[in-house]
Amino acid sequence: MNDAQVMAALEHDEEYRVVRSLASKSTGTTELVYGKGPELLVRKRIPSGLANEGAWRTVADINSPLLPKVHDIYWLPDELVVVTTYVDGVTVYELVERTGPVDQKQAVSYICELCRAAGTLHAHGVVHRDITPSNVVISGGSARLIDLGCAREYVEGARHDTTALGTLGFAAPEQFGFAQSDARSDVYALGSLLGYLLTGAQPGDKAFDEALADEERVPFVLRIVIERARSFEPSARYGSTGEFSAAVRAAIGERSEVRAAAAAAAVAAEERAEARMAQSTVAEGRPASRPTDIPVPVAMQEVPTQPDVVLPPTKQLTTPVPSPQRSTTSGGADSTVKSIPLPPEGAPLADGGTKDAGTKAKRKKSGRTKAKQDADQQKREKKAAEERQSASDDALVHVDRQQIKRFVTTWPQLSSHEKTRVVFSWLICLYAARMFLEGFLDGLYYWNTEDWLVSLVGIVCSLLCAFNVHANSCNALLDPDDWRSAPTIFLDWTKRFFIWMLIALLISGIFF
Amino acid sequence: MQAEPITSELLQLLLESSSPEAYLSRVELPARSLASYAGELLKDRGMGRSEVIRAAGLNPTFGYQIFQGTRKAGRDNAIMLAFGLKCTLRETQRLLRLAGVSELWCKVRRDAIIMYCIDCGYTRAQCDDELYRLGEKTLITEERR
Repeated sequence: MNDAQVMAALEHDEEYRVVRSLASKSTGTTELVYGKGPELLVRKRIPSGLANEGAWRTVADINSPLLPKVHDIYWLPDELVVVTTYVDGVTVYELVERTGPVDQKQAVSYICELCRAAGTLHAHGVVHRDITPSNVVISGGSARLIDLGCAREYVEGARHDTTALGTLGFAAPEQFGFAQSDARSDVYALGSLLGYLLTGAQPGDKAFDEALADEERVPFVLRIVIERARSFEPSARYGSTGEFSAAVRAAIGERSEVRAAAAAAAVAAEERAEARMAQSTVAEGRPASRPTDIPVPVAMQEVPTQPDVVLPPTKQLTTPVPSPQRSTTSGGADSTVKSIPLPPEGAPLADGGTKDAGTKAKRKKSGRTKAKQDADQQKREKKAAEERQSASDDALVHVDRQQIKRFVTTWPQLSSHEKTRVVFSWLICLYAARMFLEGFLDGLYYWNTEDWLVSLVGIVCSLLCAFNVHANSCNALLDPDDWRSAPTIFLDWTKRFFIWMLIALLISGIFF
Repeated sequence: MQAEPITSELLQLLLESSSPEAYLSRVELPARSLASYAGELLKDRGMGRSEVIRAAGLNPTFGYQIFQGTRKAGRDNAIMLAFGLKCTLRETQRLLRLAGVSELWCKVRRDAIIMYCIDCGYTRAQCDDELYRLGEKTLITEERR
């Protein structure tokens, strides 16, 4: 910079009125300032050796409510000065210090917002590199990412970062100079932050691992997700913040309404079958209840649910279900299958049966009473089954409405590329439906074994394709955070399509 | 500006102490540098760095570095800075001490002229005029121009 430029820069610098200093570290100083307007701003001075002007210029082009808006960027002789909007609120650090660990759903909501913010940066080739509790501000109920002082642009082919920056416990191992940091480095920090939100313990401390292992604080499924996000090897982590966000939400069951409804229907069906079985056993005079000397199977003990079977709380599931043999409860990620409550010795069981042989004799004595009890029991079960069915229908309608609402809100947010992908998927779905119709009509028209079998194979293949495409595009569209996995979904679909086509050809070859 | 113990009082305490450790344990010595003192004066006067640099006639980059604390000022540069910051005589002497150079001494002809100019509230340019008129070396020399 020549003398004139220095003077101009100094004059420009003096246009901001300093309110107070927010932080002063080796990585730069941060001040709260007023510019020409009444708006409070944050001025960050970054030493020239650590400054990454390119990253800041890229951030200045981003317009996201979850990221600070860059107002001004200028150089002084030995430092880069960046002026951004001031985000009023409390930092996650202050929040946890004041109120302790954050509620699970709230923590996940914050992390998903941060994933979106970091994902926006990644989409522009910028890595934040310092997502820590002090750099996340809770403002108006949502989490905002601030302080991009350590942000850098991803450089194709670079072996490691130019400068090792970050915060212990939150900085990924590669940030210490082992490799170049990328989106997965921020996934590591977000995983650490989720752990911090749920436990209040500092990642890297021994207390953090202990708190993370406490299933009352962090459900097993969520712990697995955090541990994967915090893997030492970047390749073992989630590939993107979108993937991480989707995994976190799936872990607490936000994405499985449809699956939950299906699972609930399955539970209801199972219970109906059990009720029928209990009825028949009572009718045969055998004890319907579990004798006390038979140990409770491990599978029915209180165990945390796995990701695939996590049931979110739905109307259907929370409806109390009287069961003659066991009781089940459900509640999102905490849903557990309770151990069978065994009544005290000699106490009557729900189905009217008893658990010792002495009562059987008593029952024989009062045959009329028994028949009445059976009739009452049957009535109760029928009524309960009807209630369950009705609740299940209500839940499905509720889920459908939610999906439609989500679809409508998600669609305008998609880019043209994403919209094309969805439309393409649906076109394939329509084509598959057409194949089905054609196959069916051919079968009807020609009505000979050969054509009918070929048509049948076509029908099966087309139905499978249609179902698959429909399910995948629905998945992608209904979850805006799952867009990163859309290519995987597409590849998966293509793979399945060709496999089914191959099977169809083989079957055709064998028969004809 | 931050209040600090008076030098004569500190000297009294030092002379009364039995050992240097005893003195150091009794007093809290201010950790002040030229940059921090210049920053305090700047805030006190409500001036900007560019304004001070311009008034002092310092090289912009050099002046900026003095405020940043990354460069040390020589005696004449420190005097020029004092003119830029509109310092009193006492503040100028303190600034020179913090710069690690000798204070102005009224027994020296050139220093006496500068002291007079500072006391009268002259600008750096007016001071240079006086020095030139009285045949002394000016603060801004030909090569600096």
